[in-house]
Amino acid sequence: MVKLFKYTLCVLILITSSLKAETSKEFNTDPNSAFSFAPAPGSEAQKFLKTIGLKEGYNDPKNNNGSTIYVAIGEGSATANNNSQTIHDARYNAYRRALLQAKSKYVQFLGVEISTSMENIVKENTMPEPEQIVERAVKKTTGNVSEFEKIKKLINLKLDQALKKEGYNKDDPKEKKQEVIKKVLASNEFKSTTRVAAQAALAGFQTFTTFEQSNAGDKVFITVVGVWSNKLNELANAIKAKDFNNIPAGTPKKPIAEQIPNDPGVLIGTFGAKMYVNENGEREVVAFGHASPLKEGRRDLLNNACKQSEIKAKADITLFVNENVYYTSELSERDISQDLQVNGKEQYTSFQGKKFDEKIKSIGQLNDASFETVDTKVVPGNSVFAASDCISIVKWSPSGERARTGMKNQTGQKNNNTFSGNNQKMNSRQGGSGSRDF
Amino acid sequence: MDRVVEIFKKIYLIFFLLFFFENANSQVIQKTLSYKKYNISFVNKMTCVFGKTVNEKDIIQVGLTKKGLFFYEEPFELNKKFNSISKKKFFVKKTWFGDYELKITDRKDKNSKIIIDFKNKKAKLNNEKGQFNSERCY
Repeated sequence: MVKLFKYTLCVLILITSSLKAETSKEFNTDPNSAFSFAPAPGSEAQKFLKTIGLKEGYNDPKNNNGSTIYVAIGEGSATANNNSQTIHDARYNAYRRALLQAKSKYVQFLGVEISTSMENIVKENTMPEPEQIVERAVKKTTGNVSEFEKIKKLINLKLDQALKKEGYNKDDPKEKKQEVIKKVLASNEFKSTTRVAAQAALAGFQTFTTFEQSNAGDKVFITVVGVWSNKLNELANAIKAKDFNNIPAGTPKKPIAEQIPNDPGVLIGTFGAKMYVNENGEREVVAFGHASPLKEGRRDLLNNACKQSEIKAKADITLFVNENVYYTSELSERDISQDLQVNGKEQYTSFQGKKFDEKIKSIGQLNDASFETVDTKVVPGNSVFAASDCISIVKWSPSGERARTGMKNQTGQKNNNTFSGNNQKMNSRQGGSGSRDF
Repeated sequence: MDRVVEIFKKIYLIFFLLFFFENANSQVIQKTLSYKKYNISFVNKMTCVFGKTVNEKDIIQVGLTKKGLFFYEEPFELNKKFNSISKKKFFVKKTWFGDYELKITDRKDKNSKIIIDFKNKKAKLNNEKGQFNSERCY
């Protein structure tokens, strides 16, 4: 019996391994095997998530102390080079793009409406060359030159109006007019379209951490790990409703000022709003805004940059608390065949193509909230980034809101501490992350 | 009498030309042949761009839904042939390596294959024009 079992097991193992080998072989002999994968831009973020026991997408509450967590990764690249004076604004916008992309993934997870359609568009252009029609028709009807001119003018007026609808303008250069006239005699177009639309009100979607790559000569590439959890959602809703008794308590940590990254290399790569737990176990939202001055060496311009970075940080808290995200994309595929008339000769052409439009829109609103500027730091221009970066650290806290009672319109104060940059090449780095008590 | 005939001639001409221009313009017939609507949740969705040549690019949108369906133009089941609304045939399977292999037969019976790696945000396209790695996926 045992022998029979062993024999069956051996046969099974052999079959399985041969199947696997066959599949691998099949895959390897496939012409596709010439391809290989280079490290993906978001791979650092994926590795980071693995180390903390989370994965991109939905994370089961069973594995996270009863907290439902959704993680999304987004990427964005800066439009300016590192030696540009506006590099830190460009980096910040790259961060925003990446975060918006991460949010759009979450919104699409919540539910999308997809509509697909197939259309057939047949076009036939029976219009002859316009000037010839008028002359021929009018000459046939009247021999009188003055009558001819009058009627021609009248007809031309009507003709111009009709032709304008077709994209033909009498005042255009001759070549352009010919272009319109010759355009299409007949066309047949198959068009299939897939539209994806999603919209959701988000509360409590925050930047967990960011990864930034800035290879020499290449533009900055930022990867954002965004996170939403039911605790973050409760915090955001409490801020919106100004009901601070329902904010879930956390395990007390160090004071916020001590938790904020103090290393310029980390701070320069820390963006957006994050939840921190303070020394009293209260949850606070801290945001990091960045901006570069218009010119170096001007105190007034640096101050302006710091004001802008503060506004950006406040905007990030607002978006954390109350945001509506809209996602739409449209991918259409076209298969067109056309009969054209070019220089009096008929030509046939056909082409296939795709058109893709994607739009992610976000609107945030927060009324009557109290923000406190925790700190303002300036990282001067260095060998990596030519421009200085003013980083404003702004927070919202329940204690701040309580203190504000009866003191409306009072804003926080900011320090203008500066420190020297490390003047060293900045390699790929990770920004600071807030509390992990999601 | 001649004057009256002349006036009628003009009126006739104007009406004729007005009618002619109203009707001689290009005619467009647009037909929506088929239409479908779905409500789904994406667990994973990726848009990839392939550079076939310097001037020619291809773009695809693929995804996985909460209910375990695959998405390419429309959501459909794995390991089952699917006739799409755009009159194409799709077949998708999960490979040993965790990638998804999507076979497409288009309206002109041309075959192409896309291998999708959601984890590493990469894809490769194989069709009659050659083999192409995705330039970028997001």
